[in-house]
Amino acid sequence: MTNDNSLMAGDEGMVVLSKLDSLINWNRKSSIWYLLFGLACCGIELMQTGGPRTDLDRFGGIPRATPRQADLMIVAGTLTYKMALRAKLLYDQMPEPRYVISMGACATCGGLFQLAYSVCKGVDKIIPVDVYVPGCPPRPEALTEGFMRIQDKMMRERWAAKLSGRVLG
Amino acid sequence: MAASKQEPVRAKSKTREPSRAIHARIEARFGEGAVALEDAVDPVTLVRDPKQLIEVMSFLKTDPELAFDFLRSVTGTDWPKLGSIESVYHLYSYQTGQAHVVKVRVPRARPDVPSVERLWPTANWFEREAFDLVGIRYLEHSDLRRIMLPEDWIGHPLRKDYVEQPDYHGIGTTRASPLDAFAELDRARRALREARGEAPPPVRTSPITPPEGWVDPKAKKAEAKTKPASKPEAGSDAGDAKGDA
Ligand code: SF4
Repeated sequence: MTNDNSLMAGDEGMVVLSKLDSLINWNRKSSIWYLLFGLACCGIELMQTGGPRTDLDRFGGIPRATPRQADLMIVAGTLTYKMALRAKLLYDQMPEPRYVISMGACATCGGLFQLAYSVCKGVDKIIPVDVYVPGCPPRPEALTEGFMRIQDKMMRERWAAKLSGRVLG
Repeated sequence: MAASKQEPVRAKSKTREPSRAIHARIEARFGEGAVALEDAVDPVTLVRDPKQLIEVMSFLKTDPELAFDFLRSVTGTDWPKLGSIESVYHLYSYQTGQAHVVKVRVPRARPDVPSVERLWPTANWFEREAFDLVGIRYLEHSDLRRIMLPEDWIGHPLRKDYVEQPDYHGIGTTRASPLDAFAELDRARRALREARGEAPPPVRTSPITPPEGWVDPKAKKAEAKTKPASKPEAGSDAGDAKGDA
């Protein structure tokens, strides 16, 4: 933020004018903590995305080992029915507002295992999905793109306005 | 399959003679009535009576010449036409470096096989897997539970007649293809068009038109074949003219 957009109040302090929602969302989108949830080969690419090259950390994306501290669940890999029940449980433990990225063909629709008896045909059968990232596996760049779409989504939300009753729904 | 076709392949096998020798040793101990040889690239010993399995297996393990100290894997095979299920044991000996396959056949309706867990403890998980996927019941197994599928799974999926359940805990096991939605849209459009008596839309053709003077190389080649004597330049010019017309 440059001085052109702000009001200077003397030499001691600086005043920044913004909408409360923009400020909240700007904070939220700059610290998306995601749940470590690698289920299959896509999980390797998820680790790569957190690694130094694509570096999700620069968006404030830090992996968490518990759903109770996570904002985002990246479902990375083949979801079996056995795991599906557990994925639902993990999702239920995440505090609101929570977001889900379905990473790769398997998480999205069962992928190349969709005719298998043990594979769930898409994670959206059990939990709502915000962003689908296609690919088998999606490259780290693609997942970063998906991550940025989640940020966009966050920026459009208007929690403060909703709470003050000025916006319905 | 005709045996003659397989014979050359089998003759090349390096493991065939050793396996036959191992079988001969088992046969010498238990007699022809107890075990049978199933010839293959890698011949297999079939134990005729499942009740005798433990006896045969402990012989394979303790006999100083065979000394099969390692159970590599236990698998199950379903033969619905024969009405039987096989439990297959792959053995290996670190002492002699030899391997052998033993199997036992049980009726599909009552697939009870004695567990070899007390001979090779590793059989515990292998047998749980064969139970999970093929539904072989291993008698006297210490902990015969499913190992990979959830405990409340219905059926044994590697049985040939397995039918998938319509849902698992309320999760549907099918997913509509998005292409079906397009086909449905096409049908709806056609119905609408026919109801209104409209003509079907023109079939779309490729917008690419060949540049002027372009000759299909295939046609050129074919022409060159039919007229080998004509001069190449004159021939191709004639071809152009024909092609344009
Ligand atoms: S989408 Fe491809 S890479 Fe990802 S889990 Fe499935 S098979 Fe593996």
